[in-house]
Amino acid sequence: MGLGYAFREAILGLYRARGMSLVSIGTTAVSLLVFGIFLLVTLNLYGIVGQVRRRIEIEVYLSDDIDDKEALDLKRKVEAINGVKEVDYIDKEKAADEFRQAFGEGLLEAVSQNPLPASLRIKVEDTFSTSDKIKEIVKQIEKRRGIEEIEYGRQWVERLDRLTLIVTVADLVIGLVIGLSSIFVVANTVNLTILARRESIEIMKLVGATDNFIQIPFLLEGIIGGTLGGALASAILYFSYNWAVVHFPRITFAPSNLAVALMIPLGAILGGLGSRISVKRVLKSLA
Amino acid sequence: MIQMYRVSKKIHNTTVLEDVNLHVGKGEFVLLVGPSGAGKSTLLRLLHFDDRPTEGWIRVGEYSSSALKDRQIPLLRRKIGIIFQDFKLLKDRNIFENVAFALRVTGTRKSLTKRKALQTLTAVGLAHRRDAMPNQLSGGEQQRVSIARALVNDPFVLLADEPLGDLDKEASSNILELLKEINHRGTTVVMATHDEDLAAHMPYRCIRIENGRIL
Ligand SMILES: Nc1ncnc2c1ncn2[C@@H]1O[C@H](COP(=O)(O)OP(=O)(O)OP(=O)(O)O)[C@@H](O)[C@H]1O
Ligand SMILES: [Mg+2]
Repeated sequence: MGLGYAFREAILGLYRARGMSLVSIGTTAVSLLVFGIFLLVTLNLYGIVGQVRRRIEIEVYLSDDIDDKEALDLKRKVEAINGVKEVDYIDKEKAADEFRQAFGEGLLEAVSQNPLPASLRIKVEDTFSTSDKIKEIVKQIEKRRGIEEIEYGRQWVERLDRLTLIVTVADLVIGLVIGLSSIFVVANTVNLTILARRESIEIMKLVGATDNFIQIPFLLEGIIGGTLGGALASAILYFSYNWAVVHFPRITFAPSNLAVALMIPLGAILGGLGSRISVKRVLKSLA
Repeated sequence: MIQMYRVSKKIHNTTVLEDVNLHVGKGEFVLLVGPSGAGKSTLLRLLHFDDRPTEGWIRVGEYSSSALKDRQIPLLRRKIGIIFQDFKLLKDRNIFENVAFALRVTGTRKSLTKRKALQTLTAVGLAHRRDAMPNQLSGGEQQRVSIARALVNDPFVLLADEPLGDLDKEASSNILELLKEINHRGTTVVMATHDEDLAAHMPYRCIRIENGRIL
C-alpha cells in the first residue's frame, strides 16, 4: 500500500465520520489544554521558586582587626569554594553608605566611630541554594581567620526547602492524575470512533484486506486527528498565555513556547497510539 | 475445486457441523439447502476461512486448511468471492469505492482499478449509479454491487449466503439470473438457501444439510 493512498484514506476517514472526528479532536484538545495549563502553572511555580532562591545570600561579617588586603585575600579564597557564584566585598565605608540609604542620615553621625563591620556578600550557584549545600559552604568559610559572624537566614532557607518539596510532590501527583486522565479520555474517544467502524473493518477483512492495509490509514487518521487536537490546544494556550502576560505586567511569566508547542506532538502520539491499540483490538476480536 | 473431508465445527462446545464430506467440481453451481440453523452459513464461513474447522480438512482451489497460514488468508479471500443476505457494503463510501476497495487491497494500480471497477459495475448494470451511496440503492441494486465487488478480482469461486433473502420476487430472479450468468462464464458458485421451492425449480445439484449434517 502506498503512503499516498493511506494518507488519502486517513483524511477521507476523518471526513466521512466528521461528527465523530470533531468530537475526538475536541476531546483531545480539551484534555491537552488541561494538561498544558498544568504544565504552564508548574513552569511558573518553579520559575518563582528559582527567583526566590537566587536571592539567597550569605553574609560573612569580618572582624575589625583585619585590613583590606587580608579581606581581599579572604574573598579570593571564598571565591574558590565549590558552589560560590559571586563574592562582593563590602568595606566599612560601603556598609555605612548602605546603612544611610536604608535608614537615612543622622543615625550614624550620632556615633563617633563607624560601628558597622565590613563583610563579604556571597551569592551561590542555583544548584547550591538548598540549606544543606549552604551549610557546607558556610562550614568551609567558618574555619578561616578574622570572621566575626556568618548569616544567611537559615530558618528561611529551610522553610523554602520544605515548601519546594511539598510543591514538587503535589505537582507530580497532580501531573500524574491529569496526564493519566488525558491519556484515558483520548484513548477512549478514539476507541469509540474505531468501534463505530467495527463493521467496516469486518467488511474490509472479508474482501481480503491485510491487517496492515486496514491499520495504517486508521493509524494515520489517529495521528492527524491528534495533531489537530494538539494544535488547537497549543493555539488556545498560546493566545491566552500571551494575553495574561500583557494584562498582568507585574508578574514575571516563565517562557512558555516549548511547553505550548509540546501539545502538538503529544496529541499526535496520543491519537496514533489510541487508534493503533483500538484497531488492533477490533482486528483481534474479528480473527 | 472445493473439498471438505470429515469436517466438524464446534462453537462454544456445541457441534454446529459434524462429519461433513463435500466435493464441488470446477464450474459447478451447487445449492446448499437446509432449514434455518442447519449450519449453512457456518459451512460457507469455513470455505471462506473466516473460521477454521475443529476437525477434518478443507481445500479450496490451491489452498488447503492444513497448510494455510493465517497471514495467507487475505490472499485467499481475494480469490474467493462472497456475498451475503445483508450485502455488507461499506456504508460510508459510494458504490464505485466499494467495488474499487476490493482491488485496492490487492495493490492494483490506480488506472487499472478504475477501469476494472467500472467494467464490473457495468456488467451488473450499475455503472450509472457509481456515485450513489449504498443506502440510496434498492436491495436488489445493493446486492448487485456486492456481486460486483465479489467478482472484481476474478475469483474462481463465488460463495453466496442466502443472497435473495431480503429481496422481492423481481429482484430475486434478477440476481439469480446474474449468478447463473456468472456460473455460465466458468465461475464455480455455491449458494446457500433455506428456500426448498427455489431449489426444486433450479437445474442444479442440491446438497441438503440439517442439524449440521449432510443428508
Ligand atoms: N458464533 C456462534 N456462537 C454460537 N452458536 C453459533 C454461532 N454461529 C452459529 N451458531 C449456531 O450454529 C448453528 C448453525 O448456524 P448457521 O448460521 O450456520 O445456520 P444457517 O443454516 O446459516 O441458518 P440460517 O438459515 O438461519 O442462516 C445454529 O444453531 C447457530 O445457533
Ligand atoms: Mg445463515
